[in-house]
Amino acid sequence: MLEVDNIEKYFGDVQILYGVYLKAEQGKVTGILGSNGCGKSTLLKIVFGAMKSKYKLIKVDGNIIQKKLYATGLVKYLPQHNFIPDFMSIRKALQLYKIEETDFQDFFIEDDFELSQKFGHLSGGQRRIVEVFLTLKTPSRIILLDEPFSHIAPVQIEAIKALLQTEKQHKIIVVTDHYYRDITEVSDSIYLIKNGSSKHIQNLTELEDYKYISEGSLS
Amino acid sequence: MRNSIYVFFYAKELLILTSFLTVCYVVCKLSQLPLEPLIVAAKIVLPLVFYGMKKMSDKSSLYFLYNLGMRDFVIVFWLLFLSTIDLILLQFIF
Repeated sequence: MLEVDNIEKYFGDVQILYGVYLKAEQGKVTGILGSNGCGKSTLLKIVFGAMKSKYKLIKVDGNIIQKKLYATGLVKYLPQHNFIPDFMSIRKALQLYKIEETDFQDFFIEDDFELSQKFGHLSGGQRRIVEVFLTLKTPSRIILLDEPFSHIAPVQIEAIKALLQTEKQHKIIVVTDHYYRDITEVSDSIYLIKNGSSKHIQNLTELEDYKYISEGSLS
Repeated sequence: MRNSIYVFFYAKELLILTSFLTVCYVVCKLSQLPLEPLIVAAKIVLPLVFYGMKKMSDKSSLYFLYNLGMRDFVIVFWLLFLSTIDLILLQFIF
């Protein structure tokens, strides 16, 4: 179980996060929703360890993690933007992420990817779907996904959703995206970031109550 | 540590610049121009500036190195090593 608590983040004098709490468990996809600029991506970066915060408490299986989470080797993070260098081939990325080539070929059976292709030669959408696949399929314990459904074709979004359901059985997965319908569909547990605090959503109608979506959107 | 090779690829712009400075250093040595201290300083400062700029960029490929478990001080160490190791070798040559 991944538990983050008391996360406070300032940008200059402006406080973005006020003591955010989040709990993510193996076997469940934990979704984070929130309006633009509310701090969803900032929260994931802080948990990953790539961004400093004023306060934070991170626990994995009840043990407090003092160092940056990425330095433990327990976590992989998908940032909003392409992050795998242009010079790297798909084959090499698969090796680094400890994924079997056959798993890749099975997932992308409809696509004509060459394993020798370099990331710099892929289109934006192709690159994104491969990066999402690598991050989800890698054998790390904790997976943090920032906007995995952006820039991806609908048919591939469905494939990613199916992969999420398989991988969550042995991983702790936290996901955030602007496409709230996709998040609500794949998530077993949802948090809404509102006014810098996290609110655990028990019923989707609360999203209307908190004015995250307009009334009647769910029907 | 075995993934440190990727710092070299990641910092290829820095490598080009630092190679140029090495050539400048050799030229200064041979022609006895008093610019060697400036070049040495530039070779030390450049990796830190390079790293700082990457760190501040939200679209940074530093996330790739982080995902490989590489920590900030290891990345900075390799960048400094990359940029300055040739100066130590050149001291022996000249």
